[in-house]
Amino acid sequence: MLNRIPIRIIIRNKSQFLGIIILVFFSSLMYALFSILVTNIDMNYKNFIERYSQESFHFITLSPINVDEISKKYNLEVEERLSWDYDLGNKTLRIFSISNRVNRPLISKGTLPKSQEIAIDPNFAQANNLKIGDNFSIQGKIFKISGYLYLPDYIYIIKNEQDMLPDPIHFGVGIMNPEDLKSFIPYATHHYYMARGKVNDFTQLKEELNSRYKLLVFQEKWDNFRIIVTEKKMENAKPMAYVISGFVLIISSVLLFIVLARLIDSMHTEIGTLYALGYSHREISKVYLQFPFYIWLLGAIPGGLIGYYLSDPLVKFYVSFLNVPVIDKIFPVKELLIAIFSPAIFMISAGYLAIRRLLKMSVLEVIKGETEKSFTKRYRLSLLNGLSFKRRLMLKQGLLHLSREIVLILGVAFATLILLYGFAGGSALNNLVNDTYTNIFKYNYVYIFNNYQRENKYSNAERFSILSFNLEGTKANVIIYGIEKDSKMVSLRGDRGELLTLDGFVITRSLADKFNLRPGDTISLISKIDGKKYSLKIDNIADVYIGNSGYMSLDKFNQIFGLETDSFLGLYSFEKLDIPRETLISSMDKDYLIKAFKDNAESINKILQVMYFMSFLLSLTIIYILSSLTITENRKSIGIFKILGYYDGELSYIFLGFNNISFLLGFSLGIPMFNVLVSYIMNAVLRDVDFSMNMKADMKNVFVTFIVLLIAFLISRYLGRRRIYSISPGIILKEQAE
Amino acid sequence: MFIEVSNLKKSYRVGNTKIDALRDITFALEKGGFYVLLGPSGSGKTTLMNILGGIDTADSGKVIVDGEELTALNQKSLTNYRRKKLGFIFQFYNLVNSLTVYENVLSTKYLSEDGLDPKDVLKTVGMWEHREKFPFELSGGEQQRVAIARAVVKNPALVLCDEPTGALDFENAKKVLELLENINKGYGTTIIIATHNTAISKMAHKIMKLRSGELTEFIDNPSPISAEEVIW
Repeated sequence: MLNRIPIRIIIRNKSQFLGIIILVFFSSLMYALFSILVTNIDMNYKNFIERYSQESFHFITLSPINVDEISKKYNLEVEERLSWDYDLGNKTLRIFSISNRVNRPLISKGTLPKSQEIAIDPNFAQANNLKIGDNFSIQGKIFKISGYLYLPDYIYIIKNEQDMLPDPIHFGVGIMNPEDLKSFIPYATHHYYMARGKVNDFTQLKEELNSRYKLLVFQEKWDNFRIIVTEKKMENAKPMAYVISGFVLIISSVLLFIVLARLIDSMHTEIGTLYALGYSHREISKVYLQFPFYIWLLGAIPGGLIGYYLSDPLVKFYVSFLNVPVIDKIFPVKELLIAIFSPAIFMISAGYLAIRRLLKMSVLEVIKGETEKSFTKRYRLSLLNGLSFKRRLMLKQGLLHLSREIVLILGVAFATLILLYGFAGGSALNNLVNDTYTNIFKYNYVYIFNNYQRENKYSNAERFSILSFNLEGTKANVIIYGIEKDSKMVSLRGDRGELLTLDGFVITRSLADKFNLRPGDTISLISKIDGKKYSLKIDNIADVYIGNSGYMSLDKFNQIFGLETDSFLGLYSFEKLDIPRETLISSMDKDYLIKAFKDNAESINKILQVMYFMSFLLSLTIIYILSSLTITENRKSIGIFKILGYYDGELSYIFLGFNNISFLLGFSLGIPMFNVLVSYIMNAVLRDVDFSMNMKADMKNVFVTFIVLLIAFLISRYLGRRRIYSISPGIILKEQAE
Repeated sequence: MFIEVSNLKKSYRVGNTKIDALRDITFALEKGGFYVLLGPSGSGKTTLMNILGGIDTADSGKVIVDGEELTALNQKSLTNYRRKKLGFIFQFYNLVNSLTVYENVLSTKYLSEDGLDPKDVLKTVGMWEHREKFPFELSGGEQQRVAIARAVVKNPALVLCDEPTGALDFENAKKVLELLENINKGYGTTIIIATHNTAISKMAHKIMKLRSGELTEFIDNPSPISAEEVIW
């Protein structure tokens, strides 16, 4: 018979319980969604790179190496790969020869290309409406598309190392037979080798390659943006998934605890009577533990299952974004069980804690009720006596129920954090493109030669040089540029917008922030080509958030790194230059990068929108549950105040006014929390990646976040006020008489 | 007239049954009097008090208090009426438990521009010494004295007391009645007490007897006794 009590009470107080059920639903859904996603991508990624022999490193030399000799000497698997960029208007297809030992292609659909055939990556195919069996014309020759492929070293398919986002409309990869590919490359200007194996002494290997074959590029796997970015993204997603769902779960447990504790307090007479009639503690507890059980049943189970159901499209979206093939469909039972059962542990513990107080009391104490007696001296709060009566009452109301205000503060802080993360992330990407590629890097084209040049044949172009290093003691890749002293193409500015002169050595803000570097510090750099160590004193820091880079004048660059005076390796230009292909190692079109960003911004926006919606709902639910709890608890007082002649607006201020303070406190707390999160991401997650985001809680982001949360707050406030309006003093008096 | 009630009707529906709580009530009262509404439980006393207090509405008829036609007012105007003109005293005190004695009194003082000094009023009811206490720390009689202080501190034109002594022992009940008498005399406040206790009715200038929602008698009492003389 007693088992009917919880269901009836849940139905009576449906808004409060529904709020908690929604929160539990969300935490289970989030956990299931993200953990299944992360596990799927993680496992598929690991299987892919293992089974298809991902490279340990690759290198480019000017002359061909003796593959057998080097392989044997260093106990490596080395394979040469032909590579050619086919430009079709504003699109580029990077075609490789089929490899057999290292970075073997995975054909997800179709077959490996035979003669006169080509396999392309599925994203490029989809974005350009190309299907298996279609004919694809390359310089007048017809190739049949034989299948879709994935390459273990092109997981994140970006054209240039500097690109931030893949752009399948304008760039893709493909493979074909070496014989077919050779017809497009009349003579090789450099040689690309992929290697797999463990090298104990890279310096020796690099020295040998450099001295015998002239080493142009040497890149280890962890340094390869096209490989490492996926791992980094997964590392980033994992804590986010666990932290977000964990926090929502804890908040809902605390809310449940507060609601249950109040409920038990309000029912003390009935419970005491049941005790008196002979029901045991155990029987009564069993009745009250049904509350968390029902919440779990209605929240966690659908949440976990819907999360599992939704994870499939999300996995598909992410694998296409990260270009990880789905080799095995993984059903992470463990993750799903955690998503469903961990809320039960939290919920039932919270329920038990709320009931425990009751279990300790005698029958008489329970019947008598402890609620009112809890107002002891400390609740007099004489300090507030100087304030106006209404304000004093409002403050007292909040201070008497600090625990729920703390929950509100934390809930709002957390929602602020998520929203700011979304807004700042979105605008950081925008700023990166606008600031970096409009105001700082003014050139439109970059060309890098495969050999040092002495004479600049292009009068409108500007010379520069580039060398790759590792920051000593870290895995960070640092690129040092030598540019014209009075460069018109690269305009480095300080944090106040002042133009920096290139008298000394200037590093980017992203490098400085990641390693806590200041002007006056000295950094030690190890050359990636020959392993030589250089110590450079930092003179200034430029407000550049892309690239772990350093800049100096070209003359100084040549002098420090022992290069010939006036030599340079690349050109910056406003216009497209007609440089023979065979003399170049790479070229970059800035428009391409901006276009890639714009195409991708839309898909990122969709993820961000989910984030906005979630934080909005989170804050709305938390504020609503807490305010309706306050109103339910103070129903009688509100009724009395109404009889005395208080207006509804005044009562709303008195009983819900403290929420304004908590809301503002929560919001203010969210901003430093956001900064801590960002610095964690910068330091722990993006530390080893040549990429940085200027994620600042600037005025605009803070303002927009505030407005969104304020709307959630005002809606819940409006709902709260409506509940205050609905309290009838006549009914309160009648209930009392009964 | 200070209060004019004419042809007042009010009924409730409980399930399928219609209960006539007030049937065609008509009476008029002057300002500054001490009145008693006498009747057994279920006679309609509380319903009439609630309508006079603006916390319930009439089905038909007219109620005018101090020039305001309550039956024509909307909820906001009724709140205004309670705020400016009315004090309430209940059988179960209805103090706000989270507020101290002093704060409970301040809670109505706040509503009035020309109210009385809370300190004086608390002294008058003998509760100044207990001003820092919470309601649960007080006896029933003490709580009712605080409720009286809360009702009169805003210097209302009318104080409605619904069974103010119903939950008190004789001694405490007499103290409460003395206080109400003093307030009536001292501040000229009109007081209406709803009670089932006939002994109290002897204090009134006018006695209205209610039975099953009907005003059965309207008695003028030319020589009311003092609270001290009331015995039951």
